[in-house]
Amino acid sequence: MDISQSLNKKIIDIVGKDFVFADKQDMVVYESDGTHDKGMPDFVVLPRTTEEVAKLVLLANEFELPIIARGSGTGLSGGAVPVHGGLVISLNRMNTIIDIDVDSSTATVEAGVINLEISNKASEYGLFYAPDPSSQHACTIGGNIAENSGGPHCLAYGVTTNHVLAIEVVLPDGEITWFGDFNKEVPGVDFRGLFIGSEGTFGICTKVVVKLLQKPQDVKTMLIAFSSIQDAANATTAIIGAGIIPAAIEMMDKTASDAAEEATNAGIPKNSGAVLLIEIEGFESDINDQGKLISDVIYEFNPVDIKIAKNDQERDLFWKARKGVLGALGRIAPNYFLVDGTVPRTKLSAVLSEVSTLAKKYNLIVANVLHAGDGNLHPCILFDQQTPGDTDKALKLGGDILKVCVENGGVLSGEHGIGYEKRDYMPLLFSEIDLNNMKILKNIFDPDGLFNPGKIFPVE
Amino acid sequence: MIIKEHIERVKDEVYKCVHCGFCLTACPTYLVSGLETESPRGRISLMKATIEDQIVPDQNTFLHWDRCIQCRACEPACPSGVNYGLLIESTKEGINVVRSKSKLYKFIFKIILKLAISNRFINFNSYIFRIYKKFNLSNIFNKLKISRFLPNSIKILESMIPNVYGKPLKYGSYLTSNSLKKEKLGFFRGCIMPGIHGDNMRASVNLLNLLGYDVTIPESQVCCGSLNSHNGDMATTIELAKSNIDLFLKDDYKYLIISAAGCGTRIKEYSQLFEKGSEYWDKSIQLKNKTYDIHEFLFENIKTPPRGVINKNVGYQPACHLLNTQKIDEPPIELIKMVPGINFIPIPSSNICCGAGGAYSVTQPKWSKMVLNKKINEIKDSHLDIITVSNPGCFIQLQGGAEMLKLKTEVMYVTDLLYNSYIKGED
Ligand SMILES: Cc1cc2nc3c(=O)[nH]c(=O)nc-3n(C[C@H](O)[C@H](O)[C@H](O)COP(=O)(O)OP(=O)(O)OC[C@H]3O[C@@H](n4cnc5c(N)ncnc54)[C@H](O)[C@@H]3O)c2cc1C
Ligand code: SF4
Ligand code: SF4
Repeated sequence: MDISQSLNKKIIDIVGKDFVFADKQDMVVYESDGTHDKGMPDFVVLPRTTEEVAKLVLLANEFELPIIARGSGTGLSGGAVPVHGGLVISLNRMNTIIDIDVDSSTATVEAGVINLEISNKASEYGLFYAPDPSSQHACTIGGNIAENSGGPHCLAYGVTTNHVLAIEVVLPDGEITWFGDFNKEVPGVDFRGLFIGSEGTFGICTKVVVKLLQKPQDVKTMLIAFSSIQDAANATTAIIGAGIIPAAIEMMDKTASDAAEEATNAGIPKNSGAVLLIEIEGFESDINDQGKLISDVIYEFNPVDIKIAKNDQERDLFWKARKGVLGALGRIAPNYFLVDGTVPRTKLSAVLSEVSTLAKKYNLIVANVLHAGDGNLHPCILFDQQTPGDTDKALKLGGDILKVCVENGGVLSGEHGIGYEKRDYMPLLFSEIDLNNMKILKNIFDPDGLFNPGKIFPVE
Repeated sequence: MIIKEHIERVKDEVYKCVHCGFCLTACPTYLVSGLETESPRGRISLMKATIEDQIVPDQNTFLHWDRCIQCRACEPACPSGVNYGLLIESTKEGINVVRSKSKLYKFIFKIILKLAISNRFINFNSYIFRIYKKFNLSNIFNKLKISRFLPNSIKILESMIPNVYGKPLKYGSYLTSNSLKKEKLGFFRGCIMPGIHGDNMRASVNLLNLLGYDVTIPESQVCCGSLNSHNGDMATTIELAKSNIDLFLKDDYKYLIISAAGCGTRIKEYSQLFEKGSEYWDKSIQLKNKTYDIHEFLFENIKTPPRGVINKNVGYQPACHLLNTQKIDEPPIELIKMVPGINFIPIPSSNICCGAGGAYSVTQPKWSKMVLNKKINEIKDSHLDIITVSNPGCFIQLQGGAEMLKLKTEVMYVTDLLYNSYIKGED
């Protein structure tokens, strides 16, 4: 029996034969995530319990096999792509909501639970889980932890780390432990905080305790069209400058909003230079006041159309258009390379102009989707992998856009992580000393470097 | 490479998929397994890998495609607008060509599909089912411990033998006695329903009569072809389509009404079978424009709601082929709510398939059962008196599930509920 056969047998002993793939013919479906990056796993395995995960980790250690945790594979930085092969541990069968504790407003869930499922379940008690990545009906809470994901409403509520109280993790040596505490701040080093955002390089998260919030009394959702993207960007800056923090301010440029409209018929005015989707929450009287203030502010930026969602259905439809826009770009080109750079809000307008100049220079279409309130840009570079040279061109343009972000005081990633795609841009932002410190930390958790190799750190 | 050729025909559609994963949680087979090989994105990845020569699909790859229920819930979930139905049909057609190289398979497949579209066979079957249920043969088999020797898949199939309601529905004309006589309708009979759900179909026809329509069920209609196209037999599908198009385009029928969602989808999508602009493409569009699912037709035409009070907690499980392909979501629910006394309770994941899927419950009994289990447990937790359905496949599947769990919830057609209320209201 060769090594891979004996390993295969050992894996089957842990999880049963229905939950292991070792044939390339099957594993092609686990080669990539939401990006166009690819890597063939040696094995894909779907454990059911934390104990099974721990056993698999020990086994991988024994055979010196890389370990790549995988949620729903919606990641946008190539994080779950096994670029050096190895054992892909898919958490999708660990998808039980263990408990909703109404008194303490918390939920305890397994790592493979879908983000939106938590809110669906909690809504029976008038509660919800705040971080709402646009992919929330597909991505797992484990993936959210690994990427410290954000979402449109994180403008007001904060990102994943602000809503996670405790996590159960399997460390690279196979130990099962908890970081954080159920209902209070823990003194000492915040390992919970360290782990969140570590992109699967510090261990595997298996259970999560999240905070739940009371659903807002009332919501108002506005869709505002502008004749240029600059106007929309400046309006965003002005709203927040006026001291108003809406629950969300999202932006789509013409290319993006037209595609979203085509996908959903949500009623977004076609051919607008850009649209803003603004949501405010609270008590009815506050909302009315805020709504009026916002209307006053944006008035100076020549809005061409203002729509207010008439009911929940229309509100859902506006959000469906916004949240599905990346997929909707598939109507224009088969591939996109999404740049996740984040800049200070005041620089939005200037950076967007530079992006458009760069796009012209490379002769590629760029669709801009933004968590505008956070200054988080998502320029999507559209291309066709089938056209020779296109992929390289797109990646180059992406690099140039990231440079522009950093030059304007921004960062490489707002929420999707560095992963595989952006690792080589890290030196743009971090000095050698910074990077070395990160490596030291990584070594403490994972001295053998088996957890998600090839990610975050630039190749020397 | 036959499969590759077939997938290449729909290459553009394959490349529309940006693998965002938004379709995963819409897919019943993914939800019960957690396996991406059994998800829409996975199935498309396998197609992509095939045309890029990364894999050469084998029997095992076929399985992943075969396990697709073709419920098409992945289509509305997909922001990229991937027409998944087209992809899977073309792929399955390729598989069918490969498989039919095996003489035995070809033989069996031919017989099954021939039988499936033969009215006589279906009537015969319904008598067998009737006898089986009437004399409670299932119990006798169990007592004799015969079932012990049967393979698992046969046992599952045995447990799915449907109940039979009334005599088969006859061809012919059903005239309205309503004085406000309106146009004449053609009624599509479907395959399994008229044999075993005769009473229920008569209720549908009666409803149309009540509204003032004369209903004709012409004997020369043929099967819609969906069983054939789901299993990749496109040649027969086209033959059947042409025959139905020619029949129902006649002026004798102002509208064509269909009470089985799968047939409705197939007929409304006949144009996909023909080259754009060709004679039959034109004709299929004309037919589509006058074809209505019974629920949408009733919803648009009922002016006087029923009056009979039915004090029950009622849920609704939509047929995938109404919801995902014909986009008929609200009309059945509105019909239910028309009935006085009803307390409508939505069930949690009503947009997910029950696992019936045409012949799926027969071709993939294990997976069909897995999907059904999840569904029926949700129904159980909803504490309903009645779960309504809008399609015969769902009816049979859910009833099998309800019997399995010994639920008190009754499975009922939306049309039956409505008709019962009309009858009650007349007293
Ligand atoms: C259309 C679209 C829209 C998106 N919108 C947003 C958005 O608004 N905001 C946002 O932040 N992101 C967004 N994303 C990105 C993505 O959905 C998130 O990064 C999400 O958190 C990934 O979750 P996943 O379950 O798919 O993880 P995967 O893609 O499977 O994995 C992502 C990373 O997490 C690691 N990982 C997964 N599970 C675990 C675990 N249990 N323990 C340790 N590591 C693990 C993987 O190794 C990998 O490095 C979007 C993606 C798409 C396709
Ligand atoms: S939702 Fe559409 S684009 Fe996204 S993975 Fe599924 S089929 Fe592909
Ligand atoms: S048609 Fe239904 S079963 Fe098939 S891939 Fe789509 S959602 Fe899944």
